[in-house]
Amino acid sequence: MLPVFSQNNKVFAPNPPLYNQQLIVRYYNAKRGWTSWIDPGKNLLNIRYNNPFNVAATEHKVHEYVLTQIWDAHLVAEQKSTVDSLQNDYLLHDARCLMAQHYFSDMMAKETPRSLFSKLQYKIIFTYPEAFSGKTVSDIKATTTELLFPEMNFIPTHVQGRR
Amino acid sequence: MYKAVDNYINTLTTTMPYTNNIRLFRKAVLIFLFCNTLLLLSYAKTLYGPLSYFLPFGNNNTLLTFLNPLENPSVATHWKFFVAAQLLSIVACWFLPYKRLFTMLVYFFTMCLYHKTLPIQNAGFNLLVIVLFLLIFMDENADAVKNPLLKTLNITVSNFAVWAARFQVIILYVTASYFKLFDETWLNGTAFYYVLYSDTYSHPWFKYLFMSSSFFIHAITWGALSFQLLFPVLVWFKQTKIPILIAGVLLHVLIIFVMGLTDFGIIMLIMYLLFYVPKFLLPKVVSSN
Repeated sequence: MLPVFSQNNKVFAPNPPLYNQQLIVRYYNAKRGWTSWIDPGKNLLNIRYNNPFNVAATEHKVHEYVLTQIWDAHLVAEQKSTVDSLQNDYLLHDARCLMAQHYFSDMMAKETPRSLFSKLQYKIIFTYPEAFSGKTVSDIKATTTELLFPEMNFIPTHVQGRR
Repeated sequence: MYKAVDNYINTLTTTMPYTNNIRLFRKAVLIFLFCNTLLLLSYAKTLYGPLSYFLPFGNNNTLLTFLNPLENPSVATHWKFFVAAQLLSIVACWFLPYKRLFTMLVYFFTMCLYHKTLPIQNAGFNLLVIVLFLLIFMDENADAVKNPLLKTLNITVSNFAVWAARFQVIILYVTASYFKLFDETWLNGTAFYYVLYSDTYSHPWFKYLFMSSSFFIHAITWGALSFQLLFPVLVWFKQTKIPILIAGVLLHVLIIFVMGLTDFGIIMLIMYLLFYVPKFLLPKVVSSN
């Protein structure tokens, strides 16, 4: 029997993030090839830094949600197989990755409605800082881990005419 | 001892010591929810609409399904109804009598919108919806009932709802401080260093100014931990209540402007109204009622 009301108080005590995470994307056009990597989260954060009450703060939460979802999908794919091609095959059909595919397709379609992209690819970058030693931001050494996801089709079916 | 307990039970069942707290708290919650929904209007279709990016939970709980109708795509096409209904319920709750009825409607429509966006909600909204449920039972006019038995019942339920809501805030701080005691970064005083390093939970201005300051990093980390450990105790004593609430206000303002957790910070500040009503707000509360 499941409780009707449940309360997870651990939600009130999140541990500090021990790394910085970015979800970046690039798009493919048959004429121009791949674009450079774009960091949509950074743009949203810059707006939030200037005004914490801006809707961009919520848009960034959605961006982080997409990141955690595809990270979860990646973990499941790793458990299913150690072979890259099989992992990619799983990711191409996973609901979380398909959601990310729509998310990034919609994002570009909103910015440039007449864009002629046919493919997209996204990746997560984790940056782990060294332990605290009183260094300035620019002097802090960090290690980086990248997770590249398979190329997917550009399908802006979820475009929702906002803005 | 027994006499004191007896007196306390009498106070809780026959008097209304929290009238001003309830009035102000209700108004603050309504203002927050109204502004929050208005703020998200330009993005509401993406959040609540049928093509929202949030994946379904797939739970089999009937009550949760009832409180999360927007998960159903055919219902989600009518997301504007839920947004408008929440806003109208808030307006009705503010201006019309039947506070309990309209608070129930505010609760229902807020839960619908909240559940749909659950993956991006934080502990603040989690706390708010719990306390919003308790707000249904709070009644600033509980002593206006003529029937003596109903009057006692109404006052008792209202007072206990305030206590239950206060208890939620205490649970929050007890839980937060307890789990932090198991985390190495909180114990060695560097947790705030990692918070500042994260782009999501920091602000560039603070990052570049304070990240290399050992004193600042340790002071904020241990200060926040000490505050959360002490709040559940010190908030109950007259001499320490105001200082600990002021410390809480400073902490949550810091959370709003440094960490960018705007809704969480504001909700926690609203929760403090359950413990104390500032004197400068009292005339406004009385005059508006």
